[in-house]
Amino acid sequence: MSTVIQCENITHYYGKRLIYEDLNFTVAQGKILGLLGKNGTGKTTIINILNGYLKPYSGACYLFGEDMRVLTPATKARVGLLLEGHVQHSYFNIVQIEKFYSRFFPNWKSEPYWELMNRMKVTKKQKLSTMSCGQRSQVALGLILAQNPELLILDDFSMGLDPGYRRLFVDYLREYVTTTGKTVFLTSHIIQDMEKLIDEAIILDFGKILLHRSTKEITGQFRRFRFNCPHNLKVEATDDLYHPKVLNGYGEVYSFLPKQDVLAAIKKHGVLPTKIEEEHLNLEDAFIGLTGKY
Amino acid sequence: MRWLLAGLAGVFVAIVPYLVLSLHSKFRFAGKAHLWAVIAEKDVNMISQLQYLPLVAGLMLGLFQFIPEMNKKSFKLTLHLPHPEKLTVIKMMLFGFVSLSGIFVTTGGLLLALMRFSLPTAIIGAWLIAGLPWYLAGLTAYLLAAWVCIEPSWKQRAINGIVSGALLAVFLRTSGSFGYMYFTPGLVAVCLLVILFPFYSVFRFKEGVPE
Repeated sequence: MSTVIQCENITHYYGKRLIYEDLNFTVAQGKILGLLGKNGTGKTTIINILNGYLKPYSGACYLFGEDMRVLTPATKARVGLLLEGHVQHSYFNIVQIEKFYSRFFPNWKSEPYWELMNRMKVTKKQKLSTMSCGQRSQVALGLILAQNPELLILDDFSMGLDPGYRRLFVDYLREYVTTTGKTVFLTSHIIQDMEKLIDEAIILDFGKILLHRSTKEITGQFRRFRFNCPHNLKVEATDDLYHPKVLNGYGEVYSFLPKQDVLAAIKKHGVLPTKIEEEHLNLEDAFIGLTGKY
Repeated sequence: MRWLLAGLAGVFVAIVPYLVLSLHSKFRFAGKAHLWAVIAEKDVNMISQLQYLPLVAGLMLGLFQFIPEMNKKSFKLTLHLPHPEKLTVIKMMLFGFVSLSGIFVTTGGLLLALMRFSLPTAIIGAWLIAGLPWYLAGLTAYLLAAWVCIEPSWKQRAINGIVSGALLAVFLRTSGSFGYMYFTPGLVAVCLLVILFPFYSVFRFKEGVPE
């Protein structure tokens, strides 16, 4: 399976603030990868670097083997880009914008675009600037699908969408990418939406990648453990114990380890719980467990 | 954009009969011989009302074309089109430059052609020399507006705005007939040099210079 996205040793600063140091990751062909992170961890920054709209302090990214700084038109035609907030050329109406884009993309297929447009209650002469965020999201998605790209890069696709439009977007996208085998690299604040969509997740923390694993691994193996902690002893975080917390005689910790290993790790801190419960997590709870609440 | 261009063309077309009729009206009141003498002796330019019009047209077209591109950075989508980036920017600027030039040449030519019925070639030639910097100011203003709009940083944008104002002032220092007689090639050179400025803004945009 070939590599579609490759980022090597990306280091970037905004002023003196470090965003990442030596960030490395790859996305294989046909994978749907979600980039998850709290606000300010640099999700949009990565999207900008990937598309050549931001020169990192050091390091390089490659799309289909081409340096992101000098993407050829042929490679750009293979990449569908959705900007944060479903930004589009808002002075066009839905007919004009389809006509405009179709001239540039060699594999243009207008059917998915018109299929989506027909679902919306907009006239063909209505300008994008007068549409709701949800309607614009459908236009943006329709245009990307019509491009028929091999790679879809979607930056915060759920931003500003109500639950109905979010669901419509996710369902349509999922059906499209699973039937066509496209590669998708996406970010979103709504992690519930990602869970239904992504094969792999990269979880960003401030300055680094915290985790890059398959969604199945995360939701299947990462668990929350609650235990009684009679003397309010403190449990320190380790590489295996994420965000331990003790409050009012009860402790909580997140880990990929099995129950007995977690118990052993807790005991090393002098805590001797008489009761420990493990809880399976959805992706959102796992994300909170990995990155902390604040 | 089409409506703006049509509006600008309409204004420039409408001003032709206005200036011609105004000239004829002055002839009727003052007499042709007297008015010719005043024009020649006092260097009166009867089309000086045009002085700032190309400048305003250039600025309006530049702002109307490039502000929507920078709105929420949709210019990223333009640069993402599978088309050579520099060629995309050249085509965008050529659109405005050629449209403005077309309006200026057509209406300016029409004005001079109609005035040839009432004025000697020497006076029309002098007015043409006087008017050329105004039209060049219009074209330069268009390019400078693109330079300012595409620039990603607000601080640099303000600096670009000040530099643009200073540059444009050079084109409009005088409406006298022979004020720019020897410097017109210099103004053409400035206008051509300014074509490069928006490319620097595009470079900074691609570098991801923060706002």
